[in-house]
Amino acid sequence: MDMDRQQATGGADAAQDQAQITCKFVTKLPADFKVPAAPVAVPATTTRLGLSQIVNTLRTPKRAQAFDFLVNGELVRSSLEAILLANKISAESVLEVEYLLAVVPPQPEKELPHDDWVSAVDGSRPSMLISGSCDGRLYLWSASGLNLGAMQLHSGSITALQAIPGPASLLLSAGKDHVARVSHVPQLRNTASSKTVQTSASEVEVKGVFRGHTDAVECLAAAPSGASFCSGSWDACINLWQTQGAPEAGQEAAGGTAGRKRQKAGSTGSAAQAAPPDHEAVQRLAGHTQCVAGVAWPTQSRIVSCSWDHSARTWDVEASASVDTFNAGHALYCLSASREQPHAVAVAGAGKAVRLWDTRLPASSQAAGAKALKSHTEWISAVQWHPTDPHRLLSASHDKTIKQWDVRASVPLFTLQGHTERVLCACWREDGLASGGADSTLRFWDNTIP
Amino acid sequence: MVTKADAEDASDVESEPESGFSVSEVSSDVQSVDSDDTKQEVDDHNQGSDDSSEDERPARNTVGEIPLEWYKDEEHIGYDREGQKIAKQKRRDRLDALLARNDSSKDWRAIYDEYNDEEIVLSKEELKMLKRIRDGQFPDVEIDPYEPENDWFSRHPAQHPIISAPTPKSSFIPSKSEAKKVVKLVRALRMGWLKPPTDKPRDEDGEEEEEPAYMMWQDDGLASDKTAIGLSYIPAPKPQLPGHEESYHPPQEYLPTEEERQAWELLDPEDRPAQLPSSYNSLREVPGYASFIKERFERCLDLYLCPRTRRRRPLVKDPESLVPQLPSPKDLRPFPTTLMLRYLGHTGSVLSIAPDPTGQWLASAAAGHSVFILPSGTGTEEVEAAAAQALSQVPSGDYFASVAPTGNTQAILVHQLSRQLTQNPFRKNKGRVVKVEFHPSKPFFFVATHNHVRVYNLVKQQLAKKLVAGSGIITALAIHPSGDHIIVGTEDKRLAWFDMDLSTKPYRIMRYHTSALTGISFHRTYPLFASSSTDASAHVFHGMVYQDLMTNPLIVPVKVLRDFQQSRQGGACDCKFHPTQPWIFVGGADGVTYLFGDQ
Repeated sequence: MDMDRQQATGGADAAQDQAQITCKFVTKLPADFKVPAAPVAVPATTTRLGLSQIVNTLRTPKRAQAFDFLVNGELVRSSLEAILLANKISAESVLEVEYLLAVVPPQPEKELPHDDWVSAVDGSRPSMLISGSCDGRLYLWSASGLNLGAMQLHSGSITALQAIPGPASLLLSAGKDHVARVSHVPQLRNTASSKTVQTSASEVEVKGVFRGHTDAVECLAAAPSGASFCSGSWDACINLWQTQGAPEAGQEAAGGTAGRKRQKAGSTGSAAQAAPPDHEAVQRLAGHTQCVAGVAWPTQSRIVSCSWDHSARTWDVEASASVDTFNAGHALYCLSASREQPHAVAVAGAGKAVRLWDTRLPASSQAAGAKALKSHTEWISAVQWHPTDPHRLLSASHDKTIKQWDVRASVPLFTLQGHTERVLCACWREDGLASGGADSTLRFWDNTIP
Repeated sequence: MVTKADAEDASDVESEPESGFSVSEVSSDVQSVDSDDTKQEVDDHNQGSDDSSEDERPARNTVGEIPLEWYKDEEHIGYDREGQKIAKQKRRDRLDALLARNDSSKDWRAIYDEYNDEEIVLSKEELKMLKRIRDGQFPDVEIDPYEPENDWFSRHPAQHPIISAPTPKSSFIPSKSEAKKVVKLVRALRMGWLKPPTDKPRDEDGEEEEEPAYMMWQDDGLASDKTAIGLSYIPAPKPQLPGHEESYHPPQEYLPTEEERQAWELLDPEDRPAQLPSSYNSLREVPGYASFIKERFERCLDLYLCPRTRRRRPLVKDPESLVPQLPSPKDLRPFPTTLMLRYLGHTGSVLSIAPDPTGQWLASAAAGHSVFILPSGTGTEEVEAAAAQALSQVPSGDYFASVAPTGNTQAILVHQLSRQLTQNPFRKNKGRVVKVEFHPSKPFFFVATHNHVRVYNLVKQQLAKKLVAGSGIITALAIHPSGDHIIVGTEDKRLAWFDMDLSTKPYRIMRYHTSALTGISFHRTYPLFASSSTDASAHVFHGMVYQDLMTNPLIVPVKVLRDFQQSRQGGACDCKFHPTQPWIFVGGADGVTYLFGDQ
């Protein structure tokens, strides 16, 4: 009897030692994910997994589902106790925990070989993926990994690829041969039998050649309207170009200042018609002192750029002047602006950390305090925000990994390993990611496999 | 037969004639008597008997001062005056002695005189004397050490002086010799040769420290001691004693075989042992030493030519004070620290690398006549092969110079790009040309030959300066972007920093590599310079040059890069900084070019 009592009291003591936190689970998910609003007492040592199990038990009849939890706007990545301590929240009050569906970890899906290193990739087009390699060739791939052919687009290495938003299905490409090109890549035709090849590289048509840089073009960004684009180069300048206006229209407006087409001297007859028209830069943004390695054009009036001179700048397009300068302290290689939140800019480079910059605030006030996502061990070669989710971004690095981040957590969501050499480019695509690297392969990662 | 031990004893006796008694006392086994006290008593008694009681107990034994153990086994002990043997008395054993001591009240005063072989009973007076001696008093009661002093010569003039002669005149004249002596002393004090007696050093409690005790009769043959003339006595090293090999007639097993003899002859005369064991039947047949005169002559030469200066070690109280005060490398960031990229492709060692001025491309030349041009940022391999040239430098624009070290009169050629012309500026080159460089801003031209760096003024067309590296063959040359400082790497592991405004001699010579230097580079914008060597390392330095001419350049070693593989050709063959970033390219002997970044 005594022993039983002792055991009982001992158990009570243990329960007292283990602090309890009263949590209230709320969500913005559809109704079938909702749980009763009554607060629940959970042990303070509970982590994300425990919380997820609790929510799944609360919504009893449903199939188990992985959830992520937000406390105070930050993802739960440690025990509740630690979070309360870090945020100085009282354990007595009711803690409001928001839950959302956890991101499914991407699985390696395909490995597509190239002849040379894969230096650029674009996945913005549904059910199609375009990659560029260091031998200047453009490769087209279907979503299932079917090779739709390759064509020689640039005489030097392709450095950047980007689709122009709009129905025209145009593709921007930049190369080490000092030019940028606009090509028409036809959409996939929805034929009855899916086995037939719907489009091929032979249908890619170069619509315009943009000459004006005196050195290799490193990066591209299309304007939100799709009417113009900008390109950064090793000559430390950002050039703005007009994509709108067919060659005929350009010929009509030959006297105008913008979109003027320059006829190739000496080109005659059919050759002149076959050769794609040349374009000149509309505007030139000078201010960087070294190679401009990344540009983004989040809103019609603002351009963001980063450079090897350790700085990232915002530019006013109308005034063609630099508005703000963010000093990183090391060379910057890549930049991405979120489509959902145009003020959120991620820059990365030689410094092994992805740094987040809110362009609404003056850069001097946050250069030191800017949030840094640290996990890579070598140079970061590519960074890209998720096209729809304003919290997620990916980064590719020379340490052979791609990391997927949620900016509300300081640790990466996932680390994708598989490349046997440096990863040089990565992008989001439908249902997952694509990445290319110095192992001359393009790899697909699938998010949909549960 | 006299044994060695006996001889030693005898010599002891000779050297201490006064203590013959005590020697015998010590050497013999005194039975039953309590060890120390009694012995002291005996000694004291012996000394005391020297003056007063010598004739009371005349020595019966006339054997002389010899160790008595010689008579250990004899029936007699010495001889009396008539020459008759003195028979030994029968000794009491310990039991008898104990009994006797208990029976008789006097027996505790008895001591045994071994020399005369008799027992002496000390009187009470003698005991008292011994006690006084023990207490440190005079042995004799009569002597009073504290008797009143009779002040024979005092300051009070006596009424009847001992010497009544008048005071001589000379005593009133100041002494010349004393004056001389005083002058000497004053001079010595002023010059600091003589130190005035100072207070004794005080310890922490403020009490005077006593001078440390020292051994009065310490062995003065020590090597560390100074001799009378102030020079240290350094004893000659003891030669090894000759063994069987040096014998004129060694045993058979020491004689060399025919193979050993041949091997000995094949060895260099400097390396082989001086002589081979050889056997002669008798000492008469041993020939004279052939190189006796030669060796004696060389010894004389050595003595004649050896320096007679004394080397004095500098007195350093705090060795830390000798280390220069340098800023911490942490405060001197950025500089290259970690391996970031490896550029593959070459099969031979990468002998020369050059990044283009924007930093986009990197050209590398390797053994096997191949030149690659690579984009430096991504490490992509974009290759164009061409015929390799030895070395070339591109200055600000139109001109470039090339070097072909074996080209004799055409070793240096200056090419003009715009007019596609080539000039041969030097009719004759003094020495073998290693490297040439243009001054970054002024019309100067640097030519590094094996031993010198010559600076030519291109406008005046004449030699402006000749820098002497001092040691070793010059292998690398780099000019600071300001043009006022150059660094030179040599084959004997040294790096020499020249300040052009200062001197034609190096401002600083640094030796930190363990092998010959192969490449040297200044950064264009950051205050950095680096050197690579065949010891598979590259050293990065912070080299700050100040604008004002008074401040010396600050040179701080910040990083050693060792990530390359050591190979037979040497580790690192060339190093160049990235033109804009704080990164460095190092060409390795394994055909890989390495890029080191700052984070």
